[in-house]
Formats: sequence, structure tokens, C-alpha cells
Amino acid sequence: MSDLALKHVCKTFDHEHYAVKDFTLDIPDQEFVIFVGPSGCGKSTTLRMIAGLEEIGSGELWIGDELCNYVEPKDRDLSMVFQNYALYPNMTVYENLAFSLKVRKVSKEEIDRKVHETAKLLDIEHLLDRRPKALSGGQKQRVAIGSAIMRKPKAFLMDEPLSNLDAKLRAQMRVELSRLHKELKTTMIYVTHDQTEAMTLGTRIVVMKEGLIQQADTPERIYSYPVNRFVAGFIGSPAMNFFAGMVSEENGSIYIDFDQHFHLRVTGENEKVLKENYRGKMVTFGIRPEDLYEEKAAKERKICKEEYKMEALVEVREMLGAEAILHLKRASGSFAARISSEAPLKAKEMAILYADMEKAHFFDCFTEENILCKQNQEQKRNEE
Amino acid sequence: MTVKQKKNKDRKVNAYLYLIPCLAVFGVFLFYPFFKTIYLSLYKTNKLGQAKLFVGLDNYISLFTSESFYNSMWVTLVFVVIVVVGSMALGLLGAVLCSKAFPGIRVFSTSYALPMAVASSSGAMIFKIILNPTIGIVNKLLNVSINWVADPKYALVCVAVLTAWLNSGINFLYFSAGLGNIDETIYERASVDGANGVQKFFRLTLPGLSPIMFYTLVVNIIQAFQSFGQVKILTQGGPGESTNLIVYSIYRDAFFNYRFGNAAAQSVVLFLIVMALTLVMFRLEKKGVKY
Repeated sequence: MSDLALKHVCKTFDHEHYAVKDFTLDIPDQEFVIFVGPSGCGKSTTLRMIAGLEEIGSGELWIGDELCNYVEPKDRDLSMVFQNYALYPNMTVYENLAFSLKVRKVSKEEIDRKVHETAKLLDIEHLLDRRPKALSGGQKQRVAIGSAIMRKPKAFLMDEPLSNLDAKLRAQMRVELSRLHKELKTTMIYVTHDQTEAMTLGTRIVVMKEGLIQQADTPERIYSYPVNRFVAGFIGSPAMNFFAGMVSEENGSIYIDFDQHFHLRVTGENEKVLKENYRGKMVTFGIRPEDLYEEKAAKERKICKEEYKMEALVEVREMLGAEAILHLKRASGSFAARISSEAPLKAKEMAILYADMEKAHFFDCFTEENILCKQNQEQKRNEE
Repeated sequence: MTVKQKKNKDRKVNAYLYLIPCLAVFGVFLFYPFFKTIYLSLYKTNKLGQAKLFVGLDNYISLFTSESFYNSMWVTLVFVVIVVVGSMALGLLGAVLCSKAFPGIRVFSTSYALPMAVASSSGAMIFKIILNPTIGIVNKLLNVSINWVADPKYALVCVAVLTAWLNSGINFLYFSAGLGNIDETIYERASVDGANGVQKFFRLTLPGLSPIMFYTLVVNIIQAFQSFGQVKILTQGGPGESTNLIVYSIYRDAFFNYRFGNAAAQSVVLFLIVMALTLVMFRLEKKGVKY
């Protein structure tokens, strides 16, 4: 077990197109890091560079105190779970589990003990004599994870290991992976494009886009303080609603105007920053569907005021059980709201919702950065 | 008979009609010669190969009491072993070397597959020059003066090596296809798991090739048993009887000695051997091929 560090790591394909650009990240021991981002954002490439399956273009990879750029994959002492499980088709489950120890010439008794221990942990003891062909997707996935945890490597690398499973099994395996991380107490680096997996599993999330790290932070902070519009839109389901609007001041209060009949009053820290730097300018306003409330809930939260009101036509109402998702439309754009399923709002009717402006986000129209983060960065720069 | 029953009957007749052209070709070129050979093996023939005197199993009895036949069998066995091992090893080596992309790979893979396109007689002519005791490159390079094809010690090995090279082309193709079917990620997992190149080859590549390996083995054994052209050109069964393979022996008995009955009996024995071997190997397949 040891710390892992990537310093200014780059990877180009065809000498011009960057798959990963200036990737710098310190991963302390025992952390569960998630690389998340859309397809082609370089998350798998980064993971493969750590594993040694992909050459590092430039920059440094440190595992513990060792510079590992040119160390062979077999000598890096890592374990990896692949998206398609990569089980050895000619070997039984037992042999698959035993492989990494066998090639290390571990004694037969020790291998046998470890295999049974791992099989018991993952509840696959009854499958030990089967070949991969005779296993279901979920069973294959367990064997793949079992093979990875047979040794005590410096870190576990997982490349979208749950993406081939159905929704129910995925949820179940998420819980098990979380449990495994607590039991094994080893660093885990996990690649996914599923933001739910990222939010539920990780102790830290690295959001990537076009080869660049957008934000690396705890799930809570990524959700509550996204640094830019991309992160805000990527994390959270349904995605955050965005509207472009003009910042204006009225009687000392800051408003954001979307059209003639639609403006919201800005509160909290955002108000201060908008007042100072954005008066009369366009900004992007972002609010999560779960931060919009129907009348009853808004009254409870004391936000049932005219200045927080949003009126729109309900196009579709998706019933999820305790909650319902409303897909709404108004002249300035479409948006979604997550409300209690008991709320009396129906499809094809007008709905009145109230925005919790304390939870609103504002992004610079040109840089797409969160105005609060931008402000903080500038403050820091001035202090330095 | 109802309309439906009549329709069904017509359909069945139609199916057989489609098979007639194929069956006709097989009948003329395969089944007729096959049964004719069995028929001839029970007769003494004249010089035109016509059955003249029914002798029952006499041809077989004389075969199994002839030392020359046993020699032929032994020579053929040694030949088959060298050819099958040699051609499969060459094909596998070529395929493994060409399984990774590198500059010039097309040139290499074409060269490894090329023997497939070389006729056995042309191959034999090339080897005849290469192995020539005075001007051949082998003697020049090894700085020796051995008459390779005229020496009973080397002749069989020379013919076998030539045949192995000729057969290696198609094996290269089979193995390349087989390697292409092995999932690349299992090698990646093996790398991370800590396996080195040799371990990957013996634990993943070879087992991964086992289905195609079995097929290649069967085809190669049958092909080796039937080798003829190279022996005809290079050694004519000699020196002495050191390269008198069973197929060449059949040819010699039939067209030099005009003992068609005897040659037919040898053909039947060869057929039985190849059939037995094929059946045994198909039995073994279920045990040997793991997935």
C-alpha cells in the first residue's frame, strides 16, 4: 500500500490530439478515487497509463517512492478489473482466481486457502469448478473482482466494472464494492461514466472533460460547489437546469431577468459577487431540479415568495414513487423539477414552483466558470 | 392425399433434386474410384489395370508379409511426425511473430503465408538446387560436402523439412486467425496480474489456440500422409527405399510394376489408417479442447 501521484501527465494520439492533458493528482493511500466524465474524456486512458498498459506521453507517475513511467505492468504491483471482465476463458473460476498467485510461484496450500477465502467473501464458492462461459454477467463480475483482490496490491484499478450489469445488480454491486473498500483498506481508482456510481462510491471524484481535470473534490463538494457549468451539468440526475439571464439591481436587491415576466431575486453570497462584477451583464443561472419546490413545500421552507416564483407548463410528469419528475416548458427554455409525488401538479397544466435561491449557481457566460469559484481564485491570487 | 401432404412430398423431392449435381460430381470422382479401388484390391490385374483374377485377400496377405511395405509404413510414420511437428511449429512461430502490428508486417506475413502458393513440385525443384552437393547454398554455408538427397541418412529428413515448409503457409493462416480470436484484454489482465511473456504464451495463447490447433493437426496429418510431388521430384523414393512413402509406394506399384491390385490394397490400408486416426482425434478433441 502506498500513495500514488500523477504529475503533469499527458498522452497524445497521432502526435497532435490530446487524450489526456496535464493531469496532476495526488492519491493518498486508502482513498477511493473516481474518474468520471463523458465518453472519450481520457479517464480510461489515464487508468491504463497508471496500470502500464498505455505508455505515458510526458509527465511522471509515482507509486510510493518509485517513478513508474517505465516499469512493466507486471512489476507495478497493481490489480485491475476490466470492463469486459477479461476472465481467462480456458481456466475454471478457481484457476482464474489463482492465476496472479500462481505466476508469482506462491505455494499451492496458500493459493488454495486464499481462493476459498476470496470465494467465500464474494459468495462464489459454488462456482469454483465452472468456466467463465457458464457464468452469468453478475457472476463473471464477482470472479473478476475476486481475481483482483486475491493479492494485496498497492492499488486496485477498475475500468467501468459495473457497466455491463443490469440496474438492480449494479446497485447491489455498488454496495458490495463500498464494503470491500472498507474491508480491504487499499487505494481504489475507479473509472465510470455513471455519475450515480461516482457519487455513491467515491471518497473523491475527479471530473474530466476532453482530457482535462475539471474538478477533483469530495462528492458533496462536487455536488454543492461545482466549479464550472460542465461539472454542474454532469453531476446530478436529472441534470441541473440552466437559463441565460441578465443581472439587474432594483431597490438595492439583485435580480436576474430571463424575460419580461420572469425574474428571480438573487440571495446569499452570489448576490454580493453579482452586484460587484456582473451588474448589467449576462450570466448563466443554474438550479438543480431538487431545489425547485411546489407551493406546500415552499411554504415549509419559507421561500414561497413572488421573487422566487417560476411558472411553467408541465409537459411530462414522470412518477418515480415517492417523488415525481416534472418536465416543464416556458419561453426561456425547458427545465425539470423533482417534487413530492403527492403534489397536485399534472401534465399539460400550468405549475407554479419556487426556487431555493440559496442553492442557485451562477456561471460566467464566457468562461463558464462558477462566479463564486472565480471570485475565490481572484482573491487567492491577490493575497499571494 | 390432401393438398398439404402433396405439397410436403413435392418439397422433399425438390430437396433431393438440388443435391443431384453435387452427388454426380462426387460419384464420378470420389465414390466410383473409391469402390473401384476396393474392388481392384481383391483381384490380380493386367497391365491396363483391368481386374482379371479374383484372389480374395491375397493382395492384403502379400502386403502384410512384405518387408518393403513395413519399411514404407515406418518411413511414412517418421515422415508424418517430422512434417506435422515442423509445419505446425513454423506456422505457429510465424503467426505469433506477426500477431502484433509493426512496420513491414505485411511483407513478413506474406512471406510466412507464401509456401501455401508454392506447388510441391516447384518447392522440390528449389530444394534440389539449395541441397545440391556442389552448388547448393546449404553446403556452402555449413562448409560441408554432403549429398543430402542421395544419402539415406538425410534424404527422408530433407523431404520432410521441405514438406513442413510447404505446409507451414496454411498453418500460419489458421494460427493467425486463431490468435485474432483471442481477446486482447486477457493479455492486459495477465500483464497486470504479473505474468511474463513465456507464462502468457503457455497459459493463454496455446490454450486459446486449442480449438484451431486440433483442426490444424487433423488436416496436417492427412496432408502429410498424402505427400507425393516432392518425393517424386527430389528422391523418387530413394536412395534405396529410404523415402519410399506409402503414397509413392502405391504410385510405384501401380505405374511402374503394373501391380494395380497390390497398389489398390495399399490404398485401402492407407485409407483405413487415416480414417482411424481422424476418428481417434475427434474422440480426443472433447478432452483436449477446453472451451
